[in-house]
Amino acid sequence: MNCETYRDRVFDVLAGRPVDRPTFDGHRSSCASCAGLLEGISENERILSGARVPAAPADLWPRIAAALARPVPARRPRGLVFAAAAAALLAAGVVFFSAARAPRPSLDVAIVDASPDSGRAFTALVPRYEDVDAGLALADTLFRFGD
Amino acid sequence: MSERAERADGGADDATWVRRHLEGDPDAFRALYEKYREKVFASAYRIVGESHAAADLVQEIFVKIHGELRSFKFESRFSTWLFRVAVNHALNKASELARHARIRERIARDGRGDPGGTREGRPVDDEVQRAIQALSPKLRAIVGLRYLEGLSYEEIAEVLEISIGTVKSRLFLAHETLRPLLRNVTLEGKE
Repeated sequence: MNCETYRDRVFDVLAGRPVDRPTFDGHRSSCASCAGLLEGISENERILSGARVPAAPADLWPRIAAALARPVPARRPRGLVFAAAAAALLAAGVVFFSAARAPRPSLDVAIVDASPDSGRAFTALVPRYEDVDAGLALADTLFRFGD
Repeated sequence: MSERAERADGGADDATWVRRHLEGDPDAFRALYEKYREKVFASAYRIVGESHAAADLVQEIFVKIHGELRSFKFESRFSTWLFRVAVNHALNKASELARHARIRERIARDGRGDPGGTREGRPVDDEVQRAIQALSPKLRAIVGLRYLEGLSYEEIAEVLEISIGTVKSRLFLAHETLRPLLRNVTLEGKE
């Protein structure tokens, strides 16, 4: 028997249930940490069972009766609440996916070479639109100096 | 003893009172209350450790039970169902009260108020209750069910919806914590 099983059996012994007593006592006499367990818990049980708690107040029933007599605030039927929540979720989903799939103007950037030979004054990040040619034409317009 | 309490103690069993209540007998719920109020109060007191809070809990628990009796399936004993509702409600309240207690203690430390006391009845009973308050609410609940209500390990397992092994290991943990705290407590001669 190990300590864990012994602890389990202690509660059986204290409840007056049959246990394999020789094995139980054998562990108790051979294990220092379990030796005083039965007596310690038994003493605790004696104190806990003997301690009193205050009596319930006598005026509790009128309080309960008054609480029961109060009208219960009207609650929306659960099904209706769930249906409303589901509808709201569905509407939000439709809006989200519609927005996600709507065509959007594509905006990209291109690095425009501005080497000394190019005649451009500086390197620039130029918006590149769907129509790349149009973008490059715009870049040329904006950054070509001295032509 | 009141007529209702006599009726509760006598003939009809719990299931009969529940059925009568569901059929509209206005006295049936009161009969169940009279039968179990002390037990529910004692369990609540062991968990929250204070009479006023325990009384409030009893009120809340019986109002809750009144509202939920229609869902009682008659598959378990009424007392098991009642204790389950009561202990769960008291455990929820205990964590709420613990938060408030910490606030009260902080206010008291700052010299702005009085944390209030929990002393009830005999000094020895207060000592025991103070020791129990050192346990977690779950361990307090199990100690109350075992040593106050006298429930068997199987009944506790059913109320708390845990295994018998868990019941015993929680009891062991509770005793390990309580042993040094109860070492100098003697029930005799302190009354």
